[in-house]
Amino acid sequence: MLYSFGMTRLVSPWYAFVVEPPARFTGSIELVATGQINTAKIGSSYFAGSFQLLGHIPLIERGEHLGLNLGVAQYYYGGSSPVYAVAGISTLFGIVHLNVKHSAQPTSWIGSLEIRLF
Amino acid sequence: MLLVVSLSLLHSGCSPVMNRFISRMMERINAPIEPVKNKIANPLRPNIGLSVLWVGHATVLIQIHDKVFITDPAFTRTVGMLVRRSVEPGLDPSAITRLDYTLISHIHLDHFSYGSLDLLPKNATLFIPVGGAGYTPEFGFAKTHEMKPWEVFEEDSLRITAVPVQHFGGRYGFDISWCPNRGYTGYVIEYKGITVFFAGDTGYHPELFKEIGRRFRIDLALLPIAPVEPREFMQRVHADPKEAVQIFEDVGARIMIPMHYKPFNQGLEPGPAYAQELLERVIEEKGYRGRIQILDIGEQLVLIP
Repeated sequence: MLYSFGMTRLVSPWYAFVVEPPARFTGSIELVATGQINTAKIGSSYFAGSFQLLGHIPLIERGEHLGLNLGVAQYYYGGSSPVYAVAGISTLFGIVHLNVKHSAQPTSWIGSLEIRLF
Repeated sequence: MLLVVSLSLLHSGCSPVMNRFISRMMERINAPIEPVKNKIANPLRPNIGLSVLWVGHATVLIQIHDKVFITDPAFTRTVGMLVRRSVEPGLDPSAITRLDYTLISHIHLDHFSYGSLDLLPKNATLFIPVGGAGYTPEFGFAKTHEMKPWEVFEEDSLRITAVPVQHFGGRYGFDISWCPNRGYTGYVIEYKGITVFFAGDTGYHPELFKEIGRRFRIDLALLPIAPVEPREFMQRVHADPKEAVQIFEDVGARIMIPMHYKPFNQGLEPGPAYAQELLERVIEEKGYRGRIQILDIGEQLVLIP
């Protein structure tokens, strides 16, 4: 689910599942929920999931060349649910995202390279 | 670095034609940008019928009496991060002190440049083709209109009609399938007895242009003449100089000014002057010297004083 605040008022600011790239990189807030079933137990469960609330802030050429990603994420796996701060950049028309996530309790870092077409 | 890695990945996975495009683009990535001498500082004139200033590519500043128009503004050093300009823009955007209408023919990166639109006065009305709204940031223009083929906008005895052309949609390549038959248009501007046709980017289609010729008495046609090569790849969506002259004849315009060539190295032309040389040959063959006016980048032509 994404709310875009950077687009013309001719289109709805709300998007779900499919997002035309400018709606995201011109300025938006998105909520992404994921669920997964693992082939091996993590702790006491096969199930894991996450919620991520991420803001996309345009920096260069309305975010098409460069944008900033800032947000929070919470992961659920093996009976724990750490909260991560998320920061990163997007580039190449909002297709390539480089993000770093940090949790203080327990201390952990996650780096990700994401390709997002829609 | 990221750009180089991305290009290399693209390079390794593409068709031979696309490989040649990407090779050409990478060869020119550090090439110098040729300056434009004697740029016009004050392009807007107090008493004028029709003037045209070619800024380069499909960017044309048009003044018809008291109304000022710009087409497909591109003032940035690159279009779409990857394609570098080889000649600087023929006009400083700060010289455009007044603007009434901004016409976007389609949403490709070289015609709908977000960074360039941010440099223009915001009191203008922005026109985009149908299917373009989903790619249009809120620039802060006074009004934005999404135009369907043959849709007419009227204001103060001015008429702007979106006319069909033959091109293709999408902006990033992977999104072509989302909007295959929309997102591109030409425009006919009619004001105080003067009619200007801006074709944007188009391939040749005999019926479309003859129909435009039947509906309007066109004084000036701004027509694309490139990219030319490889012809089998370009032909459906890009008219070459010979086809552009055929469009000129089909629409029955009095004068043609060629555009969509030179400042961004497009296609696989043997050299930057290739399209212009081909056009000059067609002009000689058909005896159109005077009716087809080739402008330099930054040159302003007063067609109706």
